Amino acid sequence: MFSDADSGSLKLDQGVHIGDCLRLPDQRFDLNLVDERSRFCLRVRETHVSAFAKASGLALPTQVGTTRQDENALIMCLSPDEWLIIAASESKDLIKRKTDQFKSAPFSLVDVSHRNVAFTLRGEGAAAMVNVGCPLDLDLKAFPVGKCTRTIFERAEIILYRPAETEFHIEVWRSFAPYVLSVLSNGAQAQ
Amino acid sequence: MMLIECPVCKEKRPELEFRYAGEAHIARPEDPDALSDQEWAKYLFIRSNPRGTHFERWVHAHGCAKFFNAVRDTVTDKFVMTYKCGEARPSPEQIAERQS
Ligand SMILES: [Zn+2]
Repeated sequence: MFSDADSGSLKLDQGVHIGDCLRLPDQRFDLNLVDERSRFCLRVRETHVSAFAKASGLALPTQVGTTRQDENALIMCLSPDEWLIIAASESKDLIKRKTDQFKSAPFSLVDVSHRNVAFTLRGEGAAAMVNVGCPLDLDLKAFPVGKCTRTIFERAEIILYRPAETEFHIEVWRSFAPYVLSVLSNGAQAQ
Repeated sequence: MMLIECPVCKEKRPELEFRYAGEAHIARPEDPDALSDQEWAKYLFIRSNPRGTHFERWVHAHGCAKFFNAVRDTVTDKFVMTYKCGEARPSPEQIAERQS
């Protein structure tokens, strides 16, 4: 469903709304829905990664849990042969064109743009809010800036990325988003 | 919560991210047609079920999503070590060294 944004451009209604209980005046974090993005799940055999990166020009991080941001996309290495690519929604064709340059072996690029929605949690209380549903150690030594991983948030699977010390980016399957928000709002009220 | 070391992520991670996947080092017979029903049933169903050191498969389901192998003590539920699929079963000496 599309609606006219203030600027006059078309914006996708992602169907997820952050309730008032996550907008309390005294809370130590800000939670926001990330605008529409293009997202791809990329699978390349470990033995072909460097050739793929060279041909496509996509600088794939090769260590599990690391990310790379360039002018076109944010690329997260989730597994030795799996990456999540997040780019501006208008960059969809660009990513496809780049990966098409690699022709010497099979690989898989799946458009999962609208499978996920993403939230950003910012502020002093951001890590504590992630820990409401996620058992990972978010100390900066264990989870430094730039780290990403697939993990769980209560009963939902998420991808967690830390772009800054007090900022987290959470990717979640769209149908799980209301559940994640309800867990977060319970946590916000308890804090 | 128990922490399990994933040999792919090279990190200790919460047990909730993992799933158990049965006994390790059980090779599928090269030629199933050549097996008797009894031999095939043995491959499918019969497991060692030891009291103590057990070699088993795990999958980091909500992490890197890779399978790996682990040595776990079935009495204490302690993980002695984990290692990647394809690597040799650790020797009794290697296990004893980790346990000491
Ligand atoms: Zn892992």
